[in-house]
Amino acid sequence: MNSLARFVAQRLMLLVLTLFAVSVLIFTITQLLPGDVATMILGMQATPQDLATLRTQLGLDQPALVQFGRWLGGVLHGDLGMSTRFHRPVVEVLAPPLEKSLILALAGMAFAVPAGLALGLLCALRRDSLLDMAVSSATMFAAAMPEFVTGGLLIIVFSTWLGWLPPFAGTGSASTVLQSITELILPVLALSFVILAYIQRMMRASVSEVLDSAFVKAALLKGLDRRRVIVAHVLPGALGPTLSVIALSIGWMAGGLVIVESLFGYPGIGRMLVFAIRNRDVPLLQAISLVVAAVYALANLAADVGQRALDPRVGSSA
Amino acid sequence: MALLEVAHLNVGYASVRGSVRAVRDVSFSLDRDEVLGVVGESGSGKSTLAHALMGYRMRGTSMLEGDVTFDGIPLLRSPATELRKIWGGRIAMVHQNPLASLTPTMRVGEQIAETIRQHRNATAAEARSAVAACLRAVELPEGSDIARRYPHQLSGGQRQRITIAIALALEPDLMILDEPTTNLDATTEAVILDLLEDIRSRTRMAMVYISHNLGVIARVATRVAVMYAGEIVETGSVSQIYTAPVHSYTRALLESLPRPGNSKPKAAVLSGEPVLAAMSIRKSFGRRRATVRAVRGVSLHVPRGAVVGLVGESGSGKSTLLRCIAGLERPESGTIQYSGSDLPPNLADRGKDMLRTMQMVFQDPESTLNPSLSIGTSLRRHLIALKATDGVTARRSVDEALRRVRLDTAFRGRLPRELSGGEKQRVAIARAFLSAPDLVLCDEPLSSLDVSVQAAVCRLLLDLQRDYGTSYVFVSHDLAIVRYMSDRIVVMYLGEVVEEGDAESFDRRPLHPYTEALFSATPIPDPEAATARVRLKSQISDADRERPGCIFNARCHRRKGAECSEIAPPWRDTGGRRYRCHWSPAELAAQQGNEAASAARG
Amino acid sequence: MTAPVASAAEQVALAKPEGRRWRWQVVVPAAVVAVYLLTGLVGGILAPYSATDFNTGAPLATPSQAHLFGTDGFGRDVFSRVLVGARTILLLSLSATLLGVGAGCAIGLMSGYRGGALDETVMRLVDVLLALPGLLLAMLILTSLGPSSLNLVLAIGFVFVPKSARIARSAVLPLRNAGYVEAARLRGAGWPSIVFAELLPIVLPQLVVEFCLRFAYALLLISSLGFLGFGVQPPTPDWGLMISEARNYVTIAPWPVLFPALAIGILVVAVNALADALTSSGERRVEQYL
Repeated sequence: MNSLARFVAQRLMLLVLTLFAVSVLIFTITQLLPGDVATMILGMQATPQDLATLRTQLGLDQPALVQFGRWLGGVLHGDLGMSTRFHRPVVEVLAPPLEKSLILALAGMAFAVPAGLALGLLCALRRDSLLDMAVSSATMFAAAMPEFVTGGLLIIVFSTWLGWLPPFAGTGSASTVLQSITELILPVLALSFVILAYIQRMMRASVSEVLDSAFVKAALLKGLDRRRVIVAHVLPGALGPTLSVIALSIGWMAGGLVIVESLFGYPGIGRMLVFAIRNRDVPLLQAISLVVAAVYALANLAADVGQRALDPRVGSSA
Repeated sequence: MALLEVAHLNVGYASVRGSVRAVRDVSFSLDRDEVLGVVGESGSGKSTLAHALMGYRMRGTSMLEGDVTFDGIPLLRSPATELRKIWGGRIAMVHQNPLASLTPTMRVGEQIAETIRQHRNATAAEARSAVAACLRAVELPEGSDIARRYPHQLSGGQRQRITIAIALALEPDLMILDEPTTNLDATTEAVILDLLEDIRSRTRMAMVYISHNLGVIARVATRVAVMYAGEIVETGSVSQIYTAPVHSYTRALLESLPRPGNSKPKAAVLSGEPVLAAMSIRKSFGRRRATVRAVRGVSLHVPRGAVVGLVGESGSGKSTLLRCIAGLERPESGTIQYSGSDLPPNLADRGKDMLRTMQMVFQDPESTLNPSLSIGTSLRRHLIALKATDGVTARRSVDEALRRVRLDTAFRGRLPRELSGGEKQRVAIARAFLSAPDLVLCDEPLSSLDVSVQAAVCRLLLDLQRDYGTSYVFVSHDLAIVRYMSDRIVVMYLGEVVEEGDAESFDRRPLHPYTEALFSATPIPDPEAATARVRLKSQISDADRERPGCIFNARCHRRKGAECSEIAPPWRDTGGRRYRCHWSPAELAAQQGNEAASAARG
Repeated sequence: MTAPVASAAEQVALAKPEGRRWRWQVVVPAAVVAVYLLTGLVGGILAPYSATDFNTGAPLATPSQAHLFGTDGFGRDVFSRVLVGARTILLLSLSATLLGVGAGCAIGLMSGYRGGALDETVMRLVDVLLALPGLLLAMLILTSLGPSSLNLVLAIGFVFVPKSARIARSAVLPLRNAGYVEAARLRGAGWPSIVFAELLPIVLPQLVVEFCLRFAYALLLISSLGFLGFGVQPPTPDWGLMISEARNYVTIAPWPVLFPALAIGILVVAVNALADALTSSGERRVEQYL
């Protein structure tokens, strides 16, 4: 277990370094954004003096390196700056949408992960059967289409034609808990179909590969019953690569959130990101990008650690 | 009634090319205490046969006909529940390649325990003590350490013992062994074979032992069946097969093996400047604490026109040394003189004229040729790079090169995947000789070829060597081939040379204890041959490299005393040979003489 | 009998007919993609109305003979807009993929073969670039550069470089020590010759599959960016943009959303199916059983 702890520590360090580099990247790109921030805050009627004062206040006249340093310092203290559009600390602005997005994301994962794993295992065990082919086709469709197409089609079927579910979500029009949950169904489905598909395919592929392996054959020839072979011999090896996909899907979800929230009008962090970009709200933009990158990187770390814990060969120096 | 009765067994697969019959009309019977050795090369159907004997349908099987009756039970017609009771419990299989057939994510002790729990309904405690007994039975050191390890943390020999332990756990009536020692070093293989013999005499188990190695079969089997293209072409007792083979395939198989005392006509070793003189080559791998000193101060002389055989087991450094000479690896220190001038260690620093005179043949025929290029293109590229010939001459030279290695010029347009392993290796040899080099480095060129093909390629190499007067450095772990081919032999162990000299003098008697062990471990396809049984304790361990004293100290069966673990042994010269040992030649001769005498008496 | 040149196994294995099998899995998706490509070429000519004219008919009309796909909120003919939109999305996706995959693969091949500090540095950079989801990175770049078609191609191409570099690198890594590579070194070949003349032909099939997958992803990104408003700017018809414009009327008139959605959906599914079919797993060779 000691080597595992060391592994985790090493990767955490790498994560910090990566995040630092990512923050540089984000900062660089956002600095290139056209448009004068001071004018946007004070409006077109502002006098040149007021603009200059504001610029000094915000530190916009300092060289880029200094600005970056101040920003980074702020981040490390938990201060993500002031939103230029909302005139409130970014941290305050982000909290509610972040919570809403988390609900959506967690619901999505709660649906996609177990369903994907179960379907993947089932299809691998019944390879090339009708069930397998049907599921494989379905997942290919789901994996290929962008979330707004899946979402759009879902809305047309379930809202327009069948009228069972509402076409918008999270806008506050839900008065009961049941209504709140109902309006989440379509966005969660749109978000998680893609991920379910990827997980199912990876699981099926790795389980199939393991089923064909020499050690599973050897285990069967020991006279062990099938359930034992699947649980103790097949799954540990097959879960490793699938864990990576699960972690990566957290990253994909970040992109998916932007689209699904825009489609359903859901006030989450994705919609806020589009808003921030449109309005050149640089501090907000930087903060959201950093949060997304951090979540993504942590997810990857979790996948690596999990894979190492499951498969003793990975990363060992034997 | 025989324990195992096989009648008209046929197994077929459906593939794109139609159905393929892997096992054709096989019949035989087997009793307790008998060992049936099944000899066959890759493609003979022996693995399919092994699985069919258990009643197991491999994936893709389209046809499984005939009868396999075990102790009265018809295996091919039994339901899965019955088969599961028999598998592991009454018939057990020892698989090829233990690294692939042990579950990598499960501790090895647990892999033994689960069989016991499954078949005997044992409790955890009962299973644990049974596992300990199994480990003892295969001579693995007791204690929870090994049982708690994962397969990749064990050595090859240890893994093989574990697979045997799993098979033995429930004391089956029949054990089927599919190439159990193929991936092991000769010295480890010898020990495992001893263990199997021991187990068999104790338990009276019946065994089906499958191997492509005739020498091994001669050692373990009581009866032999020779398989070719799915059929059993000949059966008989061991001595029958080896002394009076009937079928032409059996005869060809036996003839293709080099036997001791039967070697090529030795060239008179030319005196004069050696074509290659490597001095004190050192090469290590890895970083800081995990450094492995692969080659530790080795010097090598290759006389002009001679074949120098470099023999050793895994970890000996022989391949690394070869690659340092070739320029594919950079030695940390040491110099190489090539035909009198200094050879730059960096491949990029060597001029075309130097590259032209030294070429290499690699071990794996599957990766020796670029799979996306035709044979002609590969050869032409190599030729033009080395000799800057024009298109027309190049084409003629390529045709000549193919003819030289006895391949039809039509091969020019073929892709590597259309060639067999032997043919690919011939092309590789043709490529090496395109520039008529003075020295060809051979890195185990025959090891990945089937036995029946090895002989032809071996002869080709020797013919070319003779015709061109080229020198070879021939690396191999197979002592028999090295003894057959070489004019000089160099024996390496864990990065050092322990013995070297003229091949002829080796034929008389090995001197260094390691060479002795290596000679006696090599299975000879002659059931009559009596060789002194030298068995090495323990395994090769990288840690031995770092200890002071003699490199072979930890495993030596002739250990002299404290000096072996403290002082580096001196070189001793005697009659065309040198070796490093604390024993003098006379002392060694006396010891070996006494042993031979007592063996004859006892 | 002389010892055979090829052993029994090899004789069995070699006696197989060569030849590609044209399966449904390849033909059907390829045909669909071909139809789209054709539409991209001649769509503009075939369109019954101009894709940008307002009020060609009553707004939000249901599909009829005059307007096969109905009209949108501004009275524009949806069918014409879908046809013309094909050219935009295909052209942009293809260019971006060629740019990104080409550059990425070249980098990945070189880095993977040469190894050492160069490889380490390149891979760290790749890791940093991959730390952001592609859509986000593209959005940021586009906002900095401005939303033109050229910038769209550049942004998406840039997003593709790290992923393709990784794929190319892992394709080349196991081949570094192959016999034919070492033989090439022994004849004095330098690394450019080895990477591009020896290794590239071998990994090309894998890179082609990667190209198809990236192309599918480019379609996705471009339409997503269009949906969010960062992509192709109006009045040029973009399927994603069409969906976002018509989104608010979806309960009354789903047609302006339905048809562009189907257009995107069918295309990306077809491209993915094609890529899948090209990575045919290849059946197990019979030899392993012998």
